[in-house]
Amino acid sequence: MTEVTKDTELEPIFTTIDRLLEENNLQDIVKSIDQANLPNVTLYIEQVVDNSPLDQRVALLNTLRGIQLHFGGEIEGFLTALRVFHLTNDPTLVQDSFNRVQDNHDMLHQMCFILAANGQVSLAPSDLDNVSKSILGNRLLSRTFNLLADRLDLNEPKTLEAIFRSHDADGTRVRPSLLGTDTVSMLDSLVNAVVNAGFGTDGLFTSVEKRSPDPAAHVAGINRLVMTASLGFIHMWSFDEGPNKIAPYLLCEDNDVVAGACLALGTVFAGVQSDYDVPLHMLTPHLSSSEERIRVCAALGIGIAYAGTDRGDVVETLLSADIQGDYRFGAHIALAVGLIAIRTGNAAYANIVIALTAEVPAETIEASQYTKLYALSLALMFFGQKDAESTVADDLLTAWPDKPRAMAAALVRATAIAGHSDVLAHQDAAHSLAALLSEDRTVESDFIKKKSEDDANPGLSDKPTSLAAMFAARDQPKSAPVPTDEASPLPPTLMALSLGHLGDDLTQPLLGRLFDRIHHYGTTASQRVLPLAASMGSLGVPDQALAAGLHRMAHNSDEAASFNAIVSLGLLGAGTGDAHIAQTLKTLRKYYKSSSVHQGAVRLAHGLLHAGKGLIGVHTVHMDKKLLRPTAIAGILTTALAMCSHESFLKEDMILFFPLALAMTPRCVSTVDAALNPIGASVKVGQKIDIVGLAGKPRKIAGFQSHVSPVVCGLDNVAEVVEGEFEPLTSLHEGVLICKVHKDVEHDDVD
Amino acid sequence: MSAQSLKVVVRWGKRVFNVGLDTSADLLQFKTQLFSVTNVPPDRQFLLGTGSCAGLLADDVDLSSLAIHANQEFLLIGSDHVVNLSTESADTEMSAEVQVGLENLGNTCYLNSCVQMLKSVPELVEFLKNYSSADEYDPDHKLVAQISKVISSLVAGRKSVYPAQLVSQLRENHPQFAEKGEHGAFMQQDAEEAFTQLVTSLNKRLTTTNVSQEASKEDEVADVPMEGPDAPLATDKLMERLFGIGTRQTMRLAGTDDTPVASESAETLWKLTCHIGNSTSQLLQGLQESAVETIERKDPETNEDRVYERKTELVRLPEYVTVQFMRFFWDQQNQKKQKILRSVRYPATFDAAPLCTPELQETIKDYRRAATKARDIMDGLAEGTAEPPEMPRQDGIIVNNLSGMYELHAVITHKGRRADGGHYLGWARDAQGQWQRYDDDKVTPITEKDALELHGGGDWHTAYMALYKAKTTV
Repeated sequence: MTEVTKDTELEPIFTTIDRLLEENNLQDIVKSIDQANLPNVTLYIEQVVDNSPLDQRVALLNTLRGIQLHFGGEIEGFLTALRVFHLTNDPTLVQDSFNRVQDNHDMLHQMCFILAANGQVSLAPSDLDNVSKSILGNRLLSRTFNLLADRLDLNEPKTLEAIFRSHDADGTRVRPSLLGTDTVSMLDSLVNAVVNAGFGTDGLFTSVEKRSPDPAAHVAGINRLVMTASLGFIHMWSFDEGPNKIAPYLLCEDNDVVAGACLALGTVFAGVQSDYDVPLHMLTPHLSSSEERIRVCAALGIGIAYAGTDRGDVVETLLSADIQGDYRFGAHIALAVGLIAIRTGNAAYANIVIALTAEVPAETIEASQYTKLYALSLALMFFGQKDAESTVADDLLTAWPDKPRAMAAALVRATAIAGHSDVLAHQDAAHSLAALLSEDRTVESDFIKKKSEDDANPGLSDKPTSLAAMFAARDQPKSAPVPTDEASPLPPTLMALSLGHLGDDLTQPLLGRLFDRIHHYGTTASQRVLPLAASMGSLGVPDQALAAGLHRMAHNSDEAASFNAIVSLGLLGAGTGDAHIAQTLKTLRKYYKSSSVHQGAVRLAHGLLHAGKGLIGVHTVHMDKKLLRPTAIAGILTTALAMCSHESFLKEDMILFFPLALAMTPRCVSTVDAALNPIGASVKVGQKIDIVGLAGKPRKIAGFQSHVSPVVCGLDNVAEVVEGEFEPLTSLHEGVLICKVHKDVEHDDVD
Repeated sequence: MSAQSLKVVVRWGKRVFNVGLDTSADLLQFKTQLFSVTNVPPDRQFLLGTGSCAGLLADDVDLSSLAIHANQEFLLIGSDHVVNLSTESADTEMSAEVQVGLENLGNTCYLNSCVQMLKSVPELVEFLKNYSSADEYDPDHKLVAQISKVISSLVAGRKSVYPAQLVSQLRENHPQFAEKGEHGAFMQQDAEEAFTQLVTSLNKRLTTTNVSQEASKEDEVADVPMEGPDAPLATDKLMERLFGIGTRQTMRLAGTDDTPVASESAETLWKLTCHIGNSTSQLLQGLQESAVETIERKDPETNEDRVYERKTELVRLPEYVTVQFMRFFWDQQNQKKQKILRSVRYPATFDAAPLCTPELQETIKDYRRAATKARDIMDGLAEGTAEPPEMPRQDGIIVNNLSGMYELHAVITHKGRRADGGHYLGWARDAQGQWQRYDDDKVTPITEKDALELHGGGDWHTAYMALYKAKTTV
C-alpha cells in the first residue's frame, strides 16, 4: 500500500495507472488521486476501457465508477453504471446510482434527463416524484426544441419549394409539388414532415384553410395513409397540442386516413410519455378494427409510443388483440412488443410472440417479408444479451424452417453485440457473412443463367410484330431484378458488423475497407443491404469517405441497391445539412432525372439531410458516443430491414419508416436552472480535443464559437458552459444541463 | 350523495379550464359544456380521465358511478377541424361568388391590398358607382376611372379581377412605381405610398357637388352652427370629408407646458403615424409619441438656438382614420430600407380622445355623457327622458366623430424583412361586416381575432396600415 503512494511522488500518474493495470490493482489508484489530477485520471482510464478486451472492461468500469463516486461525481458514475449495464445487462449499478441521489433533486433530475435522452426509461425507479416523471417522459423536450427554434427564428414553415430550391439553381426545373407519380408524392409528404418535424407547422397541412380540401384528399390508398401519418412527425413530441391536431383525422370516415392518424398519434409520442396514456387509450379500440391497415397502424403506433417503457399493461393489451390468423398484423404486434419490452430478455413475451406464428404454414414464414418483424421483435427483447442467440435458435424457433431461423438468430446476434466492439463477435459475423456470400453467389448465378435461357427461348418463337410491341419490348428493363430472399440471414449479418462497432471511431476505417470489398465483389443481395449497414454505423457524423462510398453505391444498376444508397446518404447526414452530401444528392438527381423512384429517394434523402430544419439528428449513440440509445437503434433497424424488401417498402410497408422517429433527437444543448426553467448561459461549441495525457489543464474544445444556450450541437461537436454566472452540475457536454446560478456574480453586476 | 356539481379541471392542449361537472347528468351534457368553452363539437371530443376513471370515457358512461372527486383532472382531445376529403370544394366556390380578389401581376400585391382597403369603405364604393367626368385627358381622372372599374368588378364578384389597366395607369401617373429590379421585373413598392397616391387622385376628382349638388345646397341653407366642432366642412372633396383628419399644431419651448404658444397652425392630414420606438407596444402610445416633435429653431428676438416642442392635436375626427405604423426606416449604415419587427398591438375599438385638443375632448366628454345617459334610460337603469345625442353629419358623412370611438375596419400587412420585398396582404370587413383576408386572388373568411393577431413581433404578417371606422355608440 505505502509503496503506491511513495512511487507516485516520483512517477507521473499515468505510469502509475499503467503499472497498477499490469498488477490488476487499479482500485489502489484512488489514493494517488486528488481534485487536480482527477479529470486526467478518469479520462485516461476511460480510454483504457475503450481499448481493452471485452472481459476486462466491466471490472475497469467498476473501478472507474468507484473513483468517480469517491470524488462526488454522481452523474459521471451514473453514466459509467449505464455502460456497465450495457455490457452485463445487470441494472444493479444503475439502481444504486438512483438510490444514492434520492435526496438530491438536482442530481436526480439530471439523471432523468440522461435516461430520457437514452430511451431506456424502464431503468428508472418507479417511485419517482412528478417532476422527475415528466423529465423522464420527455415532456420538456417539445419546450426545449421550440425555444431553440424561437432563438434561431426558424418557426416559419418550410415548404417543399424551399427545400428543393437549391436544385433549381442549375436551371433544371423540378416540379416542387405533390403532383408527381404516386410514389414521389408519398415520399414528398414524408420530406415535408421530416423537414418540419417537431415544429407543429408545415407547408402542407397547417397552411390549409379551414374549409378547403385536405392535402390527403388528392391521393389514395397507401399514399393517403402515409401522408396522414406524416402529421405525426410534424407534431412530434408535442404531447399536449399534437393529439388535438390528429384527433380530427381519427374521426374521418376514410380507412386510410384513420390508419394514418393511428400511426401519427404513435409518432407524436415517440419517446414521450404522458400522464393520461393518450396513445394507449386512443389506439386500443382500433386494434380490433375490421380493416387490416387500421389494426396494423394502431399496433405500430402503440409500439412507437411506448418503446423502451417495458409497460406490462400495454404489452398485455397488444397481445390480447385477436390476430385472426393475420400474419401481417401479428408481425406488427410482435414488433410493438419488441419495442416496448426492449432489452428485458423477457422469455414469456418471447414465447407468446413466437406462438403468434404457430399455425402459420412454413412457406409463409419463409416467403413473407413480415417474418423479419417477428425476428426483430426477439432481437429487441434480447438486445445486448450475448447468450440469447442460441436460446432463440435452439429453443424458441424450433418450429420455424431452417432459413428464417438462421435469419432470426443472426438478427438476435446483431443486437446482442451492438456497441460491444467485440473482436471475437466481429470475426464470427464476418465468417458467417463470407459463407452467406458464397452461397448467395451460387443462387444468383443460377438465377441469371435461368433467366437468360428463358429470355432466349421466347425471343426466337414470337418476335414482336407490331411497332407498339417493339416499343414495349424496348421499354422493358434489360434484366429483371434479382428477387429478394426474404428469409436470408444476409441483411442482419451485414448490419451486425456495423452495429457491433457503434460509437467506436477506431474501427470505422476498417469497416470502410470491408464494405468497399463487398461493394466491389458482393452479390446483388448484399449490395442492397450494404449502404444501410454502412451508414448505420456512423449516423449523425457524415464521414466524407463513407459519403463518397455511398455515392458510388448510388449508381448501382439494381434499383433497390441504388435507392437504399441514396436514402442512406440522407440518413448518414440527417439534420446536419452537410454541404458535401447535398452536392452529391444534386448530382444524383440529375443522373436519375428519368426515374421517378430515384427522384423520390433523392428528395427523401434531401429531406432527411435537413431534418427539423437542421435541428433534428438521427442518433444511435449519445454522451460522447459512449452510450447506445437502444430504442433509436430499434427504430433505425426496423426502417433498414423494411427497406431490404424494396418493392413492398415503396408500397404498404412504408409505414415502417415511422419507427425512425425513435432515433430522432434534437441536436442541441440547453441549460435549465434547478427549477427547470430555461436559462440562457454562455456556451462554447466546438470540436472535442483528445486531451488524454496532456499536462496541466488543457483546453478541451478547439475552434469553438460562443453562443447563448440553447444552442445547436451535433454529434461530432461538444458544448461547454462558460465559467461565470452559471455552473453546470456535471462535466456533461450534451443534452439538457442543469446549472447552478451563482448569486455572487449577479451581485457583481448590480454593483 | 353530497353536492352533485363538482369542480373539475379539464386540460385541452396547453389550456386548462375549471368546469362544473354534474355527476347526475350524462356525459353529453358535460361535453356540451366543454363545447361552449373550447368550440370542439361534442361528437368530436375525446375525453380521458385519470385516477378512478382512467381511460377514454364512453358516451354512455354513468358519471355517478365513477367516484369523481373535486379537482379531478380530465384531458380533452379534439378540435373543430373537420377533414375534408372531397377534392372539389363547393364551399370555396360559394364564398368566391361573394368575395373575390385581385390577381398579382408580379409584385403588385402592394396595390391589391390598397384597393381592397379602399373597397371596404362603402361610402366610397357607392360614390364611385356613379363616377363620370368629361375631363377625359386628366391623368387623375384616368386613374380614378380605373379604380372605379376595378372596384365595381370586385363588388360584382364572380371571378378574380385582373387589374392590368389600373397598374399601368398608376405607373404612368407615378413613374416611381414602375421601378424595375436587376432582372427586369417590376419591384415591390411601399403600400402606404401607393395608398396615398390613390387617395390624392381620388380626392382631386371626387367632389360631393358633382353628385348631390342640390342636397348640399339645402344643407347650406339649413340652420347649423358655423363655428365649433360640429360645423360643416367648407370643402366639397369627398375624400377629405371621409378621411381628412383636422389637426392643430402648437409650438412651445421644450419642457414648458405653460409658456405661451410660439406659433400655431392648422393642417389636414390623411393619416396618423404611429412611431415605433424601443418601448412602443401599443398603438395609442405610438401615436402619442408621434404627436410630439422637438424642433430646433432660432429665437427671432435673442437670435439663439432654442428647442421647441411641436405638438399635434386633433380638432376634427373624420369617419375613417388611417393609421400608418412607421415600420420602415432608412438604415444609413447599410444603405437599405429596414423594417422594425417589433410587436405593436392595436385594439379592436380605439379611443381617439387622448389625441384631441382639450376643447374637442370636452365636447367628446359631453357627447359621451349624453349618450350614456340616453342608453341608461333606454335600459331602464335611469329615469327621465333624454334623446341620444346627434352625430353632426353632412351629406350623410360624419363631420366630426364626437364619440371619439373607432372600430377596426381594415388592415394592410407586410410580411418579410425587407421593404423592397416581402408580401402585402389586405384584411378588411366586407359589406356584411365579416372579416376577410385578401391574399391577392385568394380570399378567405377570418375572424376579428385573426385580424388583431397581426401586431408583429415575428415573421408573420405584420400590420403596416390600419383603417378605423367611427363608432356612433359609446
